[in-house]
Amino acid sequence: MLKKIALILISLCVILPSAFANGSTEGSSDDVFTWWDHYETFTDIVNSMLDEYSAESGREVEYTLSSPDKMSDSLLVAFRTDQMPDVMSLPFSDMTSVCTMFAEGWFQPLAVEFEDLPQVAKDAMFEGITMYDGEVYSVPIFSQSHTALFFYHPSMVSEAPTSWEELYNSCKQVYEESNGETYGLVLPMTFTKRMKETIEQLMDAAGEPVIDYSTGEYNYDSDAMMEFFYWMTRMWDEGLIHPSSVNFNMKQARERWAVGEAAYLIDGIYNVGITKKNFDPELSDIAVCEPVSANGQPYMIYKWPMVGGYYISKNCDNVEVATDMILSMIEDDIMLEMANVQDNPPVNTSVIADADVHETYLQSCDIFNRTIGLKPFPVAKNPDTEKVYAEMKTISPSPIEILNGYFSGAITDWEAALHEYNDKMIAERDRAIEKVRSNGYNVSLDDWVFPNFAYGESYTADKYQEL
Amino acid sequence: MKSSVSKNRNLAWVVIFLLPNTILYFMYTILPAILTAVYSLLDWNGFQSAGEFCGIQNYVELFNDDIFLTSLKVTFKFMLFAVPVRFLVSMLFGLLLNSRKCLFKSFFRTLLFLPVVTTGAIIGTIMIMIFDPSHGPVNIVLEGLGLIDKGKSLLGSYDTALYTSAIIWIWKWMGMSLIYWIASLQSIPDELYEAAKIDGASGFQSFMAITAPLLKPFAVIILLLTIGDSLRVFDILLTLTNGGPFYSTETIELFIYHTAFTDRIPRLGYASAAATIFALFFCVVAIVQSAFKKRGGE
Amino acid sequence: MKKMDFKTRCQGWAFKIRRTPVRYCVLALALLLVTLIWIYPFFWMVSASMKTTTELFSKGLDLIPDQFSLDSYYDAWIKGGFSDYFMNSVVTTIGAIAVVLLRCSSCGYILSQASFKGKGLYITILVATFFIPHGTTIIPVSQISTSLGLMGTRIGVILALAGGGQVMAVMLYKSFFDKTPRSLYEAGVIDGASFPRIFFSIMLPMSGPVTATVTILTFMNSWNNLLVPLVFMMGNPEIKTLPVGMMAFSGAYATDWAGMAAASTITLIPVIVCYICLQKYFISGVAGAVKE
Repeated sequence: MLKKIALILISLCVILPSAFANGSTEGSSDDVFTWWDHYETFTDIVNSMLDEYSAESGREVEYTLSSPDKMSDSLLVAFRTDQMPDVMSLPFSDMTSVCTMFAEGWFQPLAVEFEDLPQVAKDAMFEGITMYDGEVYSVPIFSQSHTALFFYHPSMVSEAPTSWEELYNSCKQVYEESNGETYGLVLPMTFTKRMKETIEQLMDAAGEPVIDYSTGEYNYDSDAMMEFFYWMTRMWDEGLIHPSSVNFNMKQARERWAVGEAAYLIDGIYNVGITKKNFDPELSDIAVCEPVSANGQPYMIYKWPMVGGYYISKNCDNVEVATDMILSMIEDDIMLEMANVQDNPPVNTSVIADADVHETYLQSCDIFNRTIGLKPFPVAKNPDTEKVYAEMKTISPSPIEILNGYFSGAITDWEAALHEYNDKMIAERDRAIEKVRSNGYNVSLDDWVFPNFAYGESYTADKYQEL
Repeated sequence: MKSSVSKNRNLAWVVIFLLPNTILYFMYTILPAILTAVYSLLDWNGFQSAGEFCGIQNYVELFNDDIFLTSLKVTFKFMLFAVPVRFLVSMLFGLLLNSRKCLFKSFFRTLLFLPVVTTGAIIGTIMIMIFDPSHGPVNIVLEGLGLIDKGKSLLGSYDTALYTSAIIWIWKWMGMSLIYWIASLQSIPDELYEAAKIDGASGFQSFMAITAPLLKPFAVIILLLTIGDSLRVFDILLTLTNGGPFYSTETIELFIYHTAFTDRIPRLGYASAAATIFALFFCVVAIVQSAFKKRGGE
Repeated sequence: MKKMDFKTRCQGWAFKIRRTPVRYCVLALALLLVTLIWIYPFFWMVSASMKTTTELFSKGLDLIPDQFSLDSYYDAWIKGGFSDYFMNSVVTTIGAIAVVLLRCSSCGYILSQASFKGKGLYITILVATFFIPHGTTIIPVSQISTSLGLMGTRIGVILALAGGGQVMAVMLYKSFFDKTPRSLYEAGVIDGASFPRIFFSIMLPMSGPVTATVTILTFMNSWNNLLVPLVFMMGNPEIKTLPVGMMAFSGAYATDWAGMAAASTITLIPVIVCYICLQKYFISGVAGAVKE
């Protein structure tokens, strides 16, 4: 016994100093060039760029890929402790948080003037998101896309639905023909940020955006929303929606759709590339159709201006190199590679024609081309509204939480809950405006009113001038 | 002995021996706790580098925040269900595995201990598959027995999610309580049982007459340790349900995490206020526990 | 030598089973059944490491994969860099155990043997913070570590893992030293041993069971801890531990289930070995502690 303990203690004495020695020599991360990313598709492209740089400069490089959730956690901690990577992608879905990050000095501008950017990038730049005070902070690497594409398995579904009712009938048929083995639809209910975006896009497609731009009021309890809820709750009650949806995030929902547990999945275009890479190399059983909430009518889905692909942090000490790497991401050959892996469509959409992509991918790109417009952006109209967004607190339950509440049995009267949410949102924005005004900023409800907005048209930068 | 050590020449040694513990304790518990309390008085958006003083605004808002109040409720509901079950199940296993006639005791003990040493995040991932409503083994068995409807999601229903995750938590930590029980039972001398046997007592009688009274002080400690554990449940719930569905598994720890990191606007000050309330509550529990222990000891 | 051991052992078991009344054999069988169900998730994990994703979802209760292959283990260990993560985990964990043992044994010893002003208060404060969880203080902890230059260093991770109250460990040592006979110390003094010498060469070696318990508890905590290494290892990949490395399998778009299951199995094995080796001391150590 004594001998054993002595042995343990001796080995500890040997190992301990070595641990400490290792720690202190490897310790400082200052001389490592770090790159944090949540775009899995670009792993190889970015890594080869970093390796090249490392070979030239002799500097150590480090690439970290994580899921958007983990990465946003890490970025928040890193910012608070001055440990930000040199270059990072932004995993935050809400544009208003990007505005706050600018105001708080998260980033450094790229070492490039606006005039020197290639034309495709110039067209996609937007003050407050990729530019700030006229300086270039990032360039978009993707072109506009939305996440309300309806993917399905042609082996189960013969004809694409064009309305909620047709979707319901189609799901019912799938469910009954498989004797309840296959569900109609699978939803990523715990990925609330994504579902919130998708629901808002579905409302756009139905012709009733969640903000009424003629009055600036919220419109979360529109008829279109009620219709969406009616069909979703009905499908749930009849067992047509995958019962695990309540606990699924996007990855899990996609996984279950891809292995054939459900016929439909509502997702972004990258579903094509991911399905090909992980589940179905031949892409033999995938097809896409337009958002069914449009009822087969012409429609438009409104998006914020494109966020940049990569930003340079305030902690970066080699802005030139970082700028070169970021700008090389929008060169044609890399754009083409991007299209080949069937991720989000590249900002230079002309390369897609030369890419080796599946029919579904081309159809999706076509849908985006035809139906995406720019959303009126209050921060672009009045930069101080960023303070209002930062002041507004999260109201719950939100529509997606209400739907999840119904699915899980916590809420039965979803109609009342939606009305309540809308009222609370209006009240909370009023309170936030009041608070921000009392701090000396000039904001009002008028900042959310865009009288020259017309449904079906994109709200481009020149429209702000007309105001 | 005490007097000999406390002599002046040894005082320096006393200080030196206490120093490592005191420094580490101060750096990693006391100072962070104080900082958290300071942050709780700030209006601090997570994207900002510093907060603004706002008095007790965060605390006022907390007590009007339905989700925070729900999370308090959920935390206690979890505790009230999970603690007694874990306590009793582990006691049962402890009694079985301490009986001298039981075969392969240490083999069983090791197997039951296995979940304790597994990372919580992995357990969450595995359990989502095990409890999958469409083809997970638990649903296959329960549907076969006619206990639940087809496609009932145990982790996805408002009424069952908390209890299901509590059962998974009990499964994970039961092995730890089991060790406590076995350790306690081993402290009861065998002669007492033999005496009882000679007196013709049955197994149950000797349990009530000998084991139960002697175990009482141990039971109190095991109970308190289990309560402490149950209040700190975090990583399992994070991967299993992430607080859902509809906040039915949102414990205080998850509430703090969500507020500080994953909300649309992360709020550091507000999360710190919740953490401060939580920490204060823990201190009270700890002080009550030690008072309890003192009384039990006397 | 070892074979003989095993053979005699088997004979011992056989003898024991024959001598055991039938109802205890039935009990053992029932227990076996229960424990096998109990660890079903682990069988599932091991089998998942050999299944394809489609197989994983279509097989339900079935544990047998279509084909046995150790590819995912090879991939995780060699390509996934798990051999490095493994070494990092070992060094970090041993470091944390060493720090915890040193700080807690010395503190427990003093709290038990010495009397000084404020001792009662010291213990009360320690106990009062017993339940404060790590997670809620991670931001101030990382800020303090940054200002001390410990962020991104191995020693920073070790100290953060070994930091905090560690009340349980301190109290385990205290209650153990409370019971050591007075004569031991006096004998040391008569031999002319100094204060630290008495502690390190007489007292500490005696505390085997407690040391084993604290070792296991710290081991479990450090080996599995995700949050602390995650925050501390940002920007320094060279010191990544297993749980942090495991996150790579859960990519942004899809999860590599087989790889993750293989990595989890790899992570688990040393823990089980460590537990089996120290089990005996562990239980007697906890027994000593619970008694107090």
